[in-house]
Amino acid sequence: MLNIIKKLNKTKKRCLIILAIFLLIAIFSDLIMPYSHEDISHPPLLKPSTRHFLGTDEIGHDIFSLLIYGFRITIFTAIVSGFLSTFIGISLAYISSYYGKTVKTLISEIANLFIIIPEIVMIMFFSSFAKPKLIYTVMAIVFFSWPKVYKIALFKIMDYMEKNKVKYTLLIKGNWYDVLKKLLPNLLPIMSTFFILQCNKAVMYEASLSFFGIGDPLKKTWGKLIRAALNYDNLYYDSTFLWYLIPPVVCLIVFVITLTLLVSENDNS
Amino acid sequence: MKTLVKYLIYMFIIVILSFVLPRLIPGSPLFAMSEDINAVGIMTNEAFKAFQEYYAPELPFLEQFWKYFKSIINLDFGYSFYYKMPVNKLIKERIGWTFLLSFLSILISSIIGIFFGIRSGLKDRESKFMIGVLLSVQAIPTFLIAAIFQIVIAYKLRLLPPTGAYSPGMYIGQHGYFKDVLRHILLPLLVLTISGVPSIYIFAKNSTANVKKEQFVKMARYLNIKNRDIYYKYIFKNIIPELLGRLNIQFVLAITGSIFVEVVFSYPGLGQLLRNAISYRDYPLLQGILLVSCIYGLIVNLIFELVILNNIKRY
Repeated sequence: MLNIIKKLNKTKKRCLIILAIFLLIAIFSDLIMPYSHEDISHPPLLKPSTRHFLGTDEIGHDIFSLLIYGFRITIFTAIVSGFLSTFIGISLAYISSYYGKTVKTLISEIANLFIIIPEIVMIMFFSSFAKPKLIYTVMAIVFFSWPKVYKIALFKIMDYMEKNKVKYTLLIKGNWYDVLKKLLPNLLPIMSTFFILQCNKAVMYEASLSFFGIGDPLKKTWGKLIRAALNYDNLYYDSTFLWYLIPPVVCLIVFVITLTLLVSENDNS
Repeated sequence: MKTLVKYLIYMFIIVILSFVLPRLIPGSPLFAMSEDINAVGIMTNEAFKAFQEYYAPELPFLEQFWKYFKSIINLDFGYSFYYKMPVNKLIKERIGWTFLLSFLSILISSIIGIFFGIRSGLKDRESKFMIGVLLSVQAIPTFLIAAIFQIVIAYKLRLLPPTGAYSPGMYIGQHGYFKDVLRHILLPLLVLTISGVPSIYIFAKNSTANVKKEQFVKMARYLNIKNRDIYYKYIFKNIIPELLGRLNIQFVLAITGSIFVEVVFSYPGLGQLLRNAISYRDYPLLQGILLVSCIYGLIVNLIFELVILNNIKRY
């Protein structure tokens, strides 16, 4: 683990540090939050002060607490849906390259269809019909975002399948588990890359859905916070947007960019 | 012929999906008891009647599907609860603005992205900082870029109108209509272009760099062929198929790409329609938009697959 980190270049090391901080905040959000995220007993629309770092919103939430709570919900959503979509995509790719023929044609045609139709509209369609719960949002994101993982993973796995050690395993009638064991060392790097990319996408999708007002209104992600800020009519009259809109936007952008730079291939040459 | 059949099957699957999903998803209105909906008061009585007529929940499943299928063949997507208008009429009215906005932005961002991408792909060194910036821009959700531009340019600096496609009260043919539309489209167009350029740029740069490494380009250099000819005849012609593939994706995403920008700037395209459909739970409208954007995606793909990608060969 340490060796892998040492090999990374400067930018990626910085990204890892930022990511670690984000994760720590998400894990210990209960300790950091000065008030509960459900606490609406504060006077509404206060300016930032020592008691309320980012002031309060129009209902009476402490915005700083909401923001910290957003770390937990957003990152949790990202990790769960990133993991699930990567897992489904790669397992299906493995299944179709192991069995080949009809299974492969069938699954890859389905994947093709999902790639042609615009996934964000599908996700919106699905999650606006469903009950406003976080789990259905996650389900929608997972269900419609595995095909891209599948496509690239299939390509790579087919490539590895041609390698000698895998061929020998098949020759001595190794079952799917034995083949997988041989493949795994090669698969792990692309799996981790996909996982990070999918986390990134999940955050974007969640923010986009929240922007449209879809999803659980009680689970305040950064996207929901941004939506709430944009819904507030007098946002731009004074400088309210400085502590209402900008903090969640900055968190979201920093998180997304960190993830993108962490897996980008362009800058490690 | 085979491709056509494949696309017809795709089409059929999409129709099935749009039929089955609302009936399967937990918590959907078709799932709930009909009295529930009425009692909650989400819909007026009249809308509820239209709703029942369209979905006909009392019929057997297959008959429901047959009814749905027939109405879609006739391009009847049902009746919008919120706008109190047929869905296909609504979509027809709005889709022009979406196409105007997204096709213009694809055109501009492709020209900029491809030009600069090829240029930096031909160079041997590249600026890491530039790539970092582009990757970051690509990573930011479009609606955030739109919101930031709206705050700064429209609300704080008051350079351009913040919302709409034309000033209220303007109509086609009126003096200054064209200029007014132009002024309104500038800001959304700028945002869409900014969010579109990085991916095209990076793509063009990478494929140029890949072709440049090929043996025939090296050979051409040994043969002292003019640089200009190498660039045009050997490199540019070879990246055309890949670029077209990329443009294909860009065009497929034309409708959905502009949704968020339209919502932020209240541009009267499909995006706004979708937003209202979602916030008022206007299911027929939602379904109609889904179908139209899927059909559009399929048609674009079909065109690219049939006409262009088959006719171009690698040199």
